[in-house]
Amino acid sequence: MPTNWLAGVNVSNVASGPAGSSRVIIRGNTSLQGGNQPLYVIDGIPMDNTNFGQAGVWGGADQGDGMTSVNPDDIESMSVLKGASAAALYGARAANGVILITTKRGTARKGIGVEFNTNTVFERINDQTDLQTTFGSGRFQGDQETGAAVRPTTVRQGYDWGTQAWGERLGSGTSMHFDGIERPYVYAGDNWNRFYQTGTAITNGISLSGGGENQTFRFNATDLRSNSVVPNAGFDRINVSLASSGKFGSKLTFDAKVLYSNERTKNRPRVSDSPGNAFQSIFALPPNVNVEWGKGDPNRLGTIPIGTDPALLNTWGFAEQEEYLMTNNPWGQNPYFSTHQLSINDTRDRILLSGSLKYAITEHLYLSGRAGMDWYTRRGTTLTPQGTGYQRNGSMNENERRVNEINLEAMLGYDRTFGDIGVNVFVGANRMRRQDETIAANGQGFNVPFFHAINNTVTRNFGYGYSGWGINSAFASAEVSYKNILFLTGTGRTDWFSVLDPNFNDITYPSLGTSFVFSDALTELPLWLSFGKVRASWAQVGNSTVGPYQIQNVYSLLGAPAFNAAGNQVAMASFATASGNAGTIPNRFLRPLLSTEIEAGIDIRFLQNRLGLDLTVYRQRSTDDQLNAQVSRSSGFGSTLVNLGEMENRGIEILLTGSPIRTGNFNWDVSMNIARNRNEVISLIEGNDILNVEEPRTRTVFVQHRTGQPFGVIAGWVQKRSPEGQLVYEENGAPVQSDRMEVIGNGIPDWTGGINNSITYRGFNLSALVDVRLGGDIYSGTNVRLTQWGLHKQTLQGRLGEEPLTVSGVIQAGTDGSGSPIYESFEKTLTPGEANNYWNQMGNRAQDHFIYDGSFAKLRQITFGYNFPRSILDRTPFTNLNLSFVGRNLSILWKNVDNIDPESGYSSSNGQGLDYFGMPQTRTFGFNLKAGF
Amino acid sequence: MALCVAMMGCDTEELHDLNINPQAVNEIDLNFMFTAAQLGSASGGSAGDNRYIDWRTNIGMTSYLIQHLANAGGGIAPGDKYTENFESNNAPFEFFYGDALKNISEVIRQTGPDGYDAGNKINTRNAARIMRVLNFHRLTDFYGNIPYFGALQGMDGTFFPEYDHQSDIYPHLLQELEEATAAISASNPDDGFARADIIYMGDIAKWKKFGYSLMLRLAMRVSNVAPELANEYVTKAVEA
Repeated sequence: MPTNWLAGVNVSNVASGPAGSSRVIIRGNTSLQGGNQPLYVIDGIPMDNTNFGQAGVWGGADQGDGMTSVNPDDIESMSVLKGASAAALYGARAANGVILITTKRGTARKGIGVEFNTNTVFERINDQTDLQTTFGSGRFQGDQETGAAVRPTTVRQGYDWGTQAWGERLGSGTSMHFDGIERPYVYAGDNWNRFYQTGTAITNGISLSGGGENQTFRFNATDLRSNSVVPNAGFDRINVSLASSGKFGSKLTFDAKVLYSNERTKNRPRVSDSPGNAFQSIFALPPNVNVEWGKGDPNRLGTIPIGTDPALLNTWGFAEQEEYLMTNNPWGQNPYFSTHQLSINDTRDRILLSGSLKYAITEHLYLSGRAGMDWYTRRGTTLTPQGTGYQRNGSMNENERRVNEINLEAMLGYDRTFGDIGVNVFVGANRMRRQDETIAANGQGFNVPFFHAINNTVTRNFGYGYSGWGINSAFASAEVSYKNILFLTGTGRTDWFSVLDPNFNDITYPSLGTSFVFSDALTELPLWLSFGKVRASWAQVGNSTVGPYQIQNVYSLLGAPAFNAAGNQVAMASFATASGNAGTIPNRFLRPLLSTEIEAGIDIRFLQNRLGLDLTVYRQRSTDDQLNAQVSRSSGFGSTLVNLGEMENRGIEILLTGSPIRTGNFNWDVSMNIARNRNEVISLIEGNDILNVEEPRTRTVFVQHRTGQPFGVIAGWVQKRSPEGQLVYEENGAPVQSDRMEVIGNGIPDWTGGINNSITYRGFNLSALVDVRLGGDIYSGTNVRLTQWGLHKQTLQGRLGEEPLTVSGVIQAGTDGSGSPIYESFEKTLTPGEANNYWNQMGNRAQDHFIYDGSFAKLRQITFGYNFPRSILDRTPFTNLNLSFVGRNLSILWKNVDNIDPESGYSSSNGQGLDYFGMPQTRTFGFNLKAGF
Repeated sequence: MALCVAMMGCDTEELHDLNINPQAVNEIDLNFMFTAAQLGSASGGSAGDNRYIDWRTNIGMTSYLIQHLANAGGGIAPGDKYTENFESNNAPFEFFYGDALKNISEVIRQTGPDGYDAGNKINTRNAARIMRVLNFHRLTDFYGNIPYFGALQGMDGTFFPEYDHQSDIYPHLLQELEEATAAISASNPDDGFARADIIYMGDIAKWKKFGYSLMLRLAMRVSNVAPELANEYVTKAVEA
């Protein structure tokens, strides 16, 4: 990806593993509850980027999105259309910008061109932890002042205290473990290296291209096989594509493409809250515990081996072949059981078809038509096997989802130059139809023990879901230019949404833009100036973010029947949009939302184009945002859809390019981009200036929208302060929790930027990209738990023989006559028991200690390549040969957060800035060989 | 524009039809909703979710309040330590309004004067009225003043109904009981009521007995604050 279009494009790396989803935000978030991600358009056809599910407060797996189907080898070029001006062509769904992907075509040539591409990439966990290894498993026992930290001496204790590193100083004697084995009480070494493996991804591709004057073609087949750094997980993909273009006679040209992909994802990792989160289980191990003790049965990793001592089985309360829990918490899985017994697998077959015809009616007038289809079937299986700690009967789910989207477009255009005046006009219409259908079979319990098949389940039920919707559109655009110096463009588009009531379902939005190439207007250019252009535009775009069937009240049957007093089944029904507790009230009067943007920019280049500046400022405002607003439960419902929200984004984007050295053989180019976006939520529902978005498993903070604050602030409980601003403590030194949640951060960065250096010398090229993010916070639930479990290094303070922990502030000494608290100053050096309590309560009550500056600088990518020269190739069958090395995410150059990567958010949803045992980020190194014949 | 109209049309009937949910109907047999309301009045609600009434209310709040249970304080069980837990505090409010009462109200609304099933399902309607009293009675006994007269009209645009005094709610509940219990009758057409009624399976005598028993209970509840009202309805219940 070239960096020069990255200014203002914020790509979040989600910590969710292979084939996970991504979050791309262009110029800030524009809708409070909408998707906010751009529209992907491949060869003029919108590509579905549905998100199949995210981990939330109670855990889960990132089920991926649409973009993993794309084969990078098929991509000829990518470009980004920022802002609302893209909307005339691509409509409502372009409200958040467009990412345009053009795939490769064949070229007219002699014979057939053959190209091989082979790529091998290795992946390693980038371990950011720096945990204490001084104190071992155990807990603090007895009174806070007189008690002591003890180590486990019985199997029961070893099992019960499995995630507690509050024991004694390591280095002498032994302790007992969950598995009944007594081992030396010493640091057991690095578990991350034991558990995580080196991931590999091997890609092989072949493409054939050729053609003559009237027709060209390109065929490509690519196979990707990968194994994750997480054992027993991976992602494989096959891509086959065929592209052809040409002409029939002199007036009719065509372009047609078929892109097929088959994706197989094995064991999507579960992140955020357990159960099944292997990352959490690895994090939770005390320093004197070796993860490999949990392997259990070598043939069924993570399960209790046959022949295990019945006394141990009795202690655990589990049987042979069931989960081999390393601690008595059945929700904190044995990590090997998570990776080898639990599973979330899916495959997807997808076909993207596109075809277009263009007919030249006259030299200047043309008629064109385009049809495209995105069709896929996604087949998933989720297994919780028999004997799982938290669900001993086990369960499984088989599901299939079919999605298809069809776009038809027709356009009539006129393009002509009259002397100095150029005219380019077109009108067109588009029709989008989409269907999404899901069938699922669920089963609980297994008749034949440990035989995990849906037809072997004891109780079974099914699920079915369907939704269909569409948009009709008409659009027009006119551009007038004068001598290619001054350009004036106006566009208009109307969209009609099926999801809204026919009386309110349309929105018409115009745009106006102008640009002036002043360097060409000047008769004599100063020597230092090579090019100069200014531009300005005003544009609107409408959108509708609600799903189908939300505007009118209808009724549907409930999923399961009731049983009457005689035991017979009786069907039940309720409101379709509110069948369970609460639910939504349909709103027939819901209108599309509107976004208005004004933008100005300058593009100027100096010294024979060796220095360039491209600067843009913009201001965007969303009004009538469609919100699912909370209403009183006594209305019978939980929420209603209303046009209420208002939000503003304003920002600046700067791209600086330079070529410090430019000689025949040696060239050095630098490009740097910087973007700043400021967002403000202007209004929400009257009487309620807070709208919750997401919460992490600690349940002590929320990501929420607050009037007057930016999109998605993080608010949480903090340590209480006296009216004079001093910290309030309990008598035992523990922090006191504030009376209300306070805004403590925001997960969205203020400044984003990157610097790319690239050097070419003869056939060699070297480039390095550094990615920088400033501002933006991350709330680390991981560090909350590490602190409470006694693993975080800060918890050393206050333990026996370590630096003492002294707190100072105030303590509440009573209340005055009016009931207000009286505070007295307070200072105390805590005993080890009080320190233990202090760290625990800090995790519960003072979230301001766990909000970190999410800024970072990362060495994002280094590539080093060599193009073999003609002189060598002439003696070989190759026409071109290229060998390159690519390293990604090699190093975090700078960060401000403990134990985790600043990019540890586990979700690509609107709830950004939350970390809770996501998949650790990785570094990759790879080689690529490309050979053409 | 001509192109758009010729090719696919701009705002077509076919586009509007896409928004008809193929898995839902405009009018439902209200007996199905009545069954959902009956099951919804039980502690698991219509979806079998026992967190609200079993856990938070019966165990977490009330068992501790009356000190049949005790704990070290906190969590969903704040009852005996007078601490606050929003999940427990809200549970009955969310449970009654959001599930059973919502469905009961729709049965009553649609069998009423402007409903699509006006004048039919007389027994279903009156059994629903009795169920409505039962649920509101439990709800107001938890909270005292609650939204009553304006409640459950979210579909008509009342999103934040006003609170009513308990002293105004009880007389209306008793009046409803009197009317509904009198109106439910074996001489009315069954209209599917017997099949939908999972509690008494359409036995009208049992409904009458239940209605008057409930009337006695409600009347006794107010005997200390409204002796005349109590006297009136205890007499009516006993006579019936």
